[in-house]
Amino acid sequence: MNNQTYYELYRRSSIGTALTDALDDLISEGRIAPQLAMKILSNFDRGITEILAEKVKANLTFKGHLDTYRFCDEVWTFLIKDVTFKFQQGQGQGSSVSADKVKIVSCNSKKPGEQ
Amino acid sequence: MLHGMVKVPGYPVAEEEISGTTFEFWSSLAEFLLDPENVAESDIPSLIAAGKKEIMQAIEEFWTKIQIPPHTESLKWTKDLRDGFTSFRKDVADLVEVAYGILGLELFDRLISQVISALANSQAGGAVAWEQIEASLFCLNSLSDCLGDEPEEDESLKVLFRSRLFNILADFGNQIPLRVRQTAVHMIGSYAVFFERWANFLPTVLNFLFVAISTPALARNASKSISSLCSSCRSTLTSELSVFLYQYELFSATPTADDIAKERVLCAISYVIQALPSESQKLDSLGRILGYVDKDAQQFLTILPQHPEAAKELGVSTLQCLVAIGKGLQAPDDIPIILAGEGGGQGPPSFWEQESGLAIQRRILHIIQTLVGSLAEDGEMIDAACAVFRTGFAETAPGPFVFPPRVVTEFLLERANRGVRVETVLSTASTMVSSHSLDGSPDISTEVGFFLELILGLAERLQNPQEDPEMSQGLVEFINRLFSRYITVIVHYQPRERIEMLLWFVMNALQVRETLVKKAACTFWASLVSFAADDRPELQASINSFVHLCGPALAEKLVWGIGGGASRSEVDSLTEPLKKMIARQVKAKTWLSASLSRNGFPSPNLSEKDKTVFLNKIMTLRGKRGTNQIAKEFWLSSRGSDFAC
Repeated sequence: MNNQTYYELYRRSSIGTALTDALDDLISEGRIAPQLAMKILSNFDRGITEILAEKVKANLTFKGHLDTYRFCDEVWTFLIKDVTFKFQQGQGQGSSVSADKVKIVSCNSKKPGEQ
Repeated sequence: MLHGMVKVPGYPVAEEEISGTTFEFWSSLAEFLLDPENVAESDIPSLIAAGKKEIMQAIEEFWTKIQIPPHTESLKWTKDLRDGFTSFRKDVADLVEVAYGILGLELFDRLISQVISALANSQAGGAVAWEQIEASLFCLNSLSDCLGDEPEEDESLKVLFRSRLFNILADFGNQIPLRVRQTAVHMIGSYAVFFERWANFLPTVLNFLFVAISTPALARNASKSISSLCSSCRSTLTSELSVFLYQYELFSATPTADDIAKERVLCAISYVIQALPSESQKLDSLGRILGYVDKDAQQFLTILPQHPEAAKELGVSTLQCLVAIGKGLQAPDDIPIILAGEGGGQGPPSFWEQESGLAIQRRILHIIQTLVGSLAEDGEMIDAACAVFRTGFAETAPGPFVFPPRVVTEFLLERANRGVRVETVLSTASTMVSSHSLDGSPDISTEVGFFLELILGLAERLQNPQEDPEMSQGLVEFINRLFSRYITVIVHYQPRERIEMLLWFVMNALQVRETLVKKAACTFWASLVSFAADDRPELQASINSFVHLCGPALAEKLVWGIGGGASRSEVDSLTEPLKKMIARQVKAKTWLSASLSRNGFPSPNLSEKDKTVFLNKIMTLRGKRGTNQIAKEFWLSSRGSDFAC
């Protein structure tokens, strides 16, 4: 059995919170047990990590002013101001989106000890 | 060995899958060389020199790999293989960008030299290796974001843009693979910053781009690059306006003129018009581009009786062209901002509010009203018309698209009264209110009053926000915009009973299933319970009376939601008005205590002790951030779930 653990940070994404809300409703209605919901979320953690790493090819670049950077417990936190994101779309030029403030939290794609 | 892996024969993905496995190695090597760790100081120069040589060789090998295959070859590929090859090229672009960090100018020079050599070869009687030129342009494109403000690479780029390349590309009599022109078009747009510094190179590339937009496969990208250049270099291009207008006239007359390309080119021309030094100088050019839009509007009217579907498409496209012009005429972001008190207020009428300037505005309005009115209130036309008005909302100075609020309000209310696209009307009205809430902007209390009547009518008709969540959301979001400057319109409205009806409507919105409605209502209540107008005691007293009227019910709704009635993801939103209530309202504890005292409310899973502990904790925190965590724990306890994540 694969005992590898995956980061749970994607549970806080829009898709993760939607899944959690749906599981909450199913538990409240007595249609599934909490343990099953935990397993589903664990599968979600694995699935989204693998899909993002292997299947998602969309690229974007961004530029801005780095206001704060922090590295603690293998987690980087960046606070960036006046950011412009450029989305690459195929052969042509993509669109761009601006934001006043952006916070990026990133973890090492490989956990310590992982191959 | 690694070089050997990159040089494996065959097109990547389609014929071999080995070369792509080496990307990570080469990227890691380049990143390592940027900051070598665990290497003796004395060894670093020789290490970097050796590493650079290897990386440059790898880039050359990948450059060979990304060359586009002959058309006959790629036709045999499946879609997956073509997508895989495209993805491979993107990975090479990423590698080139990383490699630039260590190779710098040398990489630029190498790529540009390749292009020049390939062109020189053709002058000597040989064939032009277009696939090689395309590969070099593709790599150069990936470096466009790497340039600083005054880079050395400008000298290399000058060599490229001074060459015959773009003149050759502009001659569509030459048989050149389409992909080469596509990549060249893309590249020009990416280097807009270079052309800002060296405007003398603009005529050559713009000539190529304007010729390219007549080719359907190139039109959209070429128009995007034109737009990018005109935005960046608008001040230097004002002398070329008449040429641009002529080119647009030629392009728009072609049967295959792409709608999106038309919009972008009009936007591009408008950027340049915006840069003209005086308002009166803009009149002539504006009049001409509006003439093209007018022509499309007349064509719309002509085909409408026989071909209503085609006419609608044309009508929407025409309005989108107006939107593009409006956006192009917006003042750039990097101009001085007038601080509060330094300007604004009522000055003499601007150019656009008198005579010839006003005539332009009336012309735009006439086009909008003709198109919208002719199609019996079609929803898409109304959306597009509202988008035209929005382009003026962002402006702080008068302009052709800065319509008087009275005019915009009349248009929006007429649409709403006919029951068409009410959500768009509300959203547009909200944006108008926001833009007129800034310091120095004109006061639009009268217009807000008209919209408030509309809002009240809608709330009375709906009764329950669950009846139409989308409209309810628009309604609540409009009211949310009033807090910064126009809250008095609500407070002074008579009869007061209608305002109370509205408050109960927004109260009930806290229990609607749809999250966005709930969040909008949470924002409203957070603003209301924390509203402070210390310098206006009468206003504050009125707000307080509303809060005291609604306080107990609000406490009950919030407790219901945080006590398991809402979704887990909505708890943070519901906690905001709770925190504000606790921080600002003396009776908060009384209201909350009363709602929690009900047996079995908000959840039978909670004991009296649970509720008491919850209340004490949140009151102790007095609205501070820790309240969110307490609320989440309360939600979990209420749901009685072991499912904590």
